Amino acid sequence: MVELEFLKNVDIFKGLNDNQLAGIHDFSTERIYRYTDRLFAEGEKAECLWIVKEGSVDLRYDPPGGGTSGKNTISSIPALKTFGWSGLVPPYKYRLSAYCANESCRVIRIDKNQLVKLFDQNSKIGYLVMSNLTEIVGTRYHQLQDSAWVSPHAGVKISVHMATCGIAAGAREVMSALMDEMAKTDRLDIRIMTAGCIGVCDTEPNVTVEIEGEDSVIYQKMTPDKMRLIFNSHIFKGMIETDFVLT
Amino acid sequence: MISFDFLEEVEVFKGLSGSQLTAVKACCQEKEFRLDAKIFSEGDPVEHLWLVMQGRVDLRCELPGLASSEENTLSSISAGGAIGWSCFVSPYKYRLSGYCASGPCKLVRIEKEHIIKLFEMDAGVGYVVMSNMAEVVGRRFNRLQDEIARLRGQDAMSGW
Repeated sequence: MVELEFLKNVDIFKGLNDNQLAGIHDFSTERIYRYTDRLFAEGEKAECLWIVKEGSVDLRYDPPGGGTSGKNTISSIPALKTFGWSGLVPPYKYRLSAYCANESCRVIRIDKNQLVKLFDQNSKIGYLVMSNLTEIVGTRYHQLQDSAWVSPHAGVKISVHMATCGIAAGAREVMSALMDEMAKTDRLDIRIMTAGCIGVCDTEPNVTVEIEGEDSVIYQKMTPDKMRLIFNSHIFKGMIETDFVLT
Repeated sequence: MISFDFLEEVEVFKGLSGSQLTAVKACCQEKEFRLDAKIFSEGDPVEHLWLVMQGRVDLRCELPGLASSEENTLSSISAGGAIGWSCFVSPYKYRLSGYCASGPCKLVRIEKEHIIKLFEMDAGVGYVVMSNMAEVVGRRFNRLQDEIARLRGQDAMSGW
């Protein structure tokens, strides 16, 4: 089920009031996918706009000869973010394929034709959503432009475990603090990801830090303040915050 | 003088009615630049959307200690083209500097705050213009994404 509260926090619907969101809510459906399931394929007609609710979705190019792997990933879409926006922009075809990148992903599908019909009936909604879309695509353009100068295999990976147990314990707030810290840095070798439950729900929110050439570290019972501290000490200075490490 | 014929041909304004274009025209100012004049600088806040009426504008990266030249040009925008979609994208700063590359350049300057006010008063104009803007930015994004996928594909082939 798609909750109105969830839609309120989604990037593309920023600024919409409850009445405007209710119109969109009516034709939104939720789906669950398993690891490596393909949500849509490159070249298909883009008939839906998609939002990640839980987990993350990889957008990949399909290499000649078939098969898919993380190496073909152009971008990873975390919770609350929109993808498949080709449905709102000519030529209305998906440019990449989308794969579930976690044990399971929950995604929201919004019918493109009904969405456009709503925009035509209520241009205020259309204006707000298309402004947000321009900002989303423009920001991704800049990020892609920056990432084109670094190796596709980032040296640092930070995974926020965002299964239901993690979200209930505050993983979304931890992710938000992490994204704020990322926005302040010029480091291009850091990749932020969402991940599923690691089986220790009582220590959620958990965050895994992987630095190339070092053992990975799992931090437990995270808060936004702890996340900011770890980002600045572990990632920038190489100092592991041992008090918060899951043992 | 800024004509309706010119505004009608601008990609981000396609689909606007005559009265909507009149409202947009009220936000426009004509500006002229001499050859090699700098129109805006990399890192500056983006406060305007620019339309090229005549001449050519080069978007260049600045190299420390070196004067600007055509060698630093990453793209060129000619008549009918728009510059400055970063005014709708956080952090609202120019990523490159703009130079008049074939003087004189005649440009239309549209104040960001002014046109956003128009969009808020007439959401119909905002919907059409921002849909066109999303299309322009989306096309550029797709081109860049295709290029990266192509290069990564080549890397993978070389590694086999």
